[in-house]
Amino acid sequence: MIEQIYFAIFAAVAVGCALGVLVSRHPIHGAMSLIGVMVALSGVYSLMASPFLATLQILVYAGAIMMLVIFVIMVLNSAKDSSTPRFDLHAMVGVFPALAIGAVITRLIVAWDAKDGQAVADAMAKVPAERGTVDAISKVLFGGRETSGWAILFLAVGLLLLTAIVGAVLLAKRRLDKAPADPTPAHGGHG
Amino acid sequence: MLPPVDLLALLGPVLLVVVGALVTLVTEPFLLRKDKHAFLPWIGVSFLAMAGVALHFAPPGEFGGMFALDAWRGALMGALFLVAAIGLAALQQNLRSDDFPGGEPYVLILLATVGVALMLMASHFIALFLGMEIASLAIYPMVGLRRDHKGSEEAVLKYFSLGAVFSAVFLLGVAMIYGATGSLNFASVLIGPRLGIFLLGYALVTVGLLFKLGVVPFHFWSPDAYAGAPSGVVSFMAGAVKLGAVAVLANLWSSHFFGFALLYTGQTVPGVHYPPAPLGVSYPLLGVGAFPEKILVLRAWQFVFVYGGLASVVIGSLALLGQTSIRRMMAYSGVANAGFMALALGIFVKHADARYALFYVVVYALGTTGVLATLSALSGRGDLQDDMTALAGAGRKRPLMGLALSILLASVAGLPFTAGFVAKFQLLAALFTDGRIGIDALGLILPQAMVKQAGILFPLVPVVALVCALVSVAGYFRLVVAVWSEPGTRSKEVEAPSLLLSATLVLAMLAVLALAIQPRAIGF
Repeated sequence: MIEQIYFAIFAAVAVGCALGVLVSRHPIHGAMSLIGVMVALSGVYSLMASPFLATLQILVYAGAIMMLVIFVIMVLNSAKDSSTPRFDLHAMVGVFPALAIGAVITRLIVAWDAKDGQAVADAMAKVPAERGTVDAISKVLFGGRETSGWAILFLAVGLLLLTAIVGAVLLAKRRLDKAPADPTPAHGGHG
Repeated sequence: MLPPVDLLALLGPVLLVVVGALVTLVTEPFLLRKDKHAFLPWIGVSFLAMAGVALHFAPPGEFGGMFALDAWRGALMGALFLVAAIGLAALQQNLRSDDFPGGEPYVLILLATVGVALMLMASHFIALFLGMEIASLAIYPMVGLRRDHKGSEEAVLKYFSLGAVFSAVFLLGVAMIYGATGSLNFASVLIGPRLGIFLLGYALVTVGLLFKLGVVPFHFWSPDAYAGAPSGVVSFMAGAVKLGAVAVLANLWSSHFFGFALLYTGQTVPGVHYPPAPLGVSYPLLGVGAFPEKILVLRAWQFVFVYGGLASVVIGSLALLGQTSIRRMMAYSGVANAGFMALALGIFVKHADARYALFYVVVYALGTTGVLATLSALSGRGDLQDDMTALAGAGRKRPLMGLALSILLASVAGLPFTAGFVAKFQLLAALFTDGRIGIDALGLILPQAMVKQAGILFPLVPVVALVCALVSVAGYFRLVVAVWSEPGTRSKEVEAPSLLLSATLVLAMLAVLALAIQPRAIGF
């Protein structure tokens, strides 16, 4: 029961904040509302017995990614912009995917019956109970030979980050190298 | 099913390329600016050669249900290493004539090679996605290497933003498939009532991969991206990305169809999966499931591959005729050839025979990479002489480059005595043999009775494909004629190709001619 009350709270916060993203005029307000959505979703994840995912949701999305979004808003000076209309003809393009996703979800809810629910519950009962915790994840990652494929993938993520860094260096270094020869900025003020 | 093998033996070739990338990366700052372009490509190519040797001795097998290696995957990876070596050589030519201040692009080529190699070996969605992203993140900055050039910013912006969107689409599909099967392995078993979400996920994943392949209607990025990037980068990405995309599409189709069929054998345990099968070999149970949706699913994917492919062939072949920029022409040639690959995948869907698609992509990758690599030597500083009139007579000044361009372009066009002819001929022959493929693929739209009665009215798909293949030869021929003609007023001095470029292009020519005589060497 208490779980359902918590779920109702988190769901209300998530939907409310999502509406806030949609209607707020000020970009910073929109970004802050998005953080609210992330935090509420993280609460839902904890209710679903996935503390690791919940933590990552806050660390990665609410922490890192949203900080980056706000940083970009600040850099582009659009924080001062409160005159651009939030809804115009271009924004209407987004209506179609939204309606399509809404239709799919409605269809799923309408089509749901208890028999299917039981089948899925039976199938899920065969999944090992211990999952979603930090313990279980560390065992999957570093638990010995039969699971060490995941350790390799973990290393591959490192390679992905290395690739991104080398790419960033490539794009940034050229500017520095050119600076002495051509002191005037070639592409405007910032960026 | 492949046997489990040791990790180091299986991933050895890829790990050697990783080490090559790291060695190149840490050597780069210690070299003088003028030495960078002399030494770094050689370091990369020597590691690629070692990886090729290691690949020869790597045992077929799988590891942890995530990576697999077999005859076809080995052949594709061998082609990938040769493509990467040509790419390094072509980039060396570009960067040297541009007097580029850094050596990072060589590192990125090697990292992208690792990414595509992971794509080829993957039998698990996370492994596949990591490989795809390593390859993409390495290629994006290289496309924008010349940001002060016209068209370069447009190229990198279009490629990056579209690539990011389609990566997200792909990932959404993966999430849906995970929700439907409870496993991220390719060959995993559906949970009973989640059929719809599985098919939706599979559709999104396929769209993500068709974008990488550049099949109509997901081809709009390629002419602009190709025309804005340095020719060395284009030469690498045109070959490598298509190798990865075709292998993954073939692999996914056979594995997933298998999981789909298993639904009707009563196995609905989430998280259960089967060991990876060799690439191009259908799972043993593939034909077994006489399940109700089988026809529907087959028709849906036949429709996508056959008609998407046919549209690509038509649009690519016609559009390449009018191009003056060689890179733009090769981009449309890529669209047309991606169309042929999609047609070959349509044959795979219908007849469970992936050889046509896999052989085609190996041959195409070697050909197109080689052609664009010769361009890096012929079109000069900043690729500014990248058009038909400026290239006039370039072949007379640099006969080896002209010869490589002619032979490899003949292979891309599918002219006799080259491997491209074998690939295209066999594919068209298979399409003509099954004249119904075009009609059957329409089964989703037309009423069943009509499809059944249609018979072989007219083999529309292969005839159109054949005509387009012949028409596109005219476009390629123009380039060959221009290269060997009298130097015109706009032709300039052509710089000497580097030793590495000459050597790798000779290898590519030999490979293309050898595969024409002995296509069986890589399993065709």
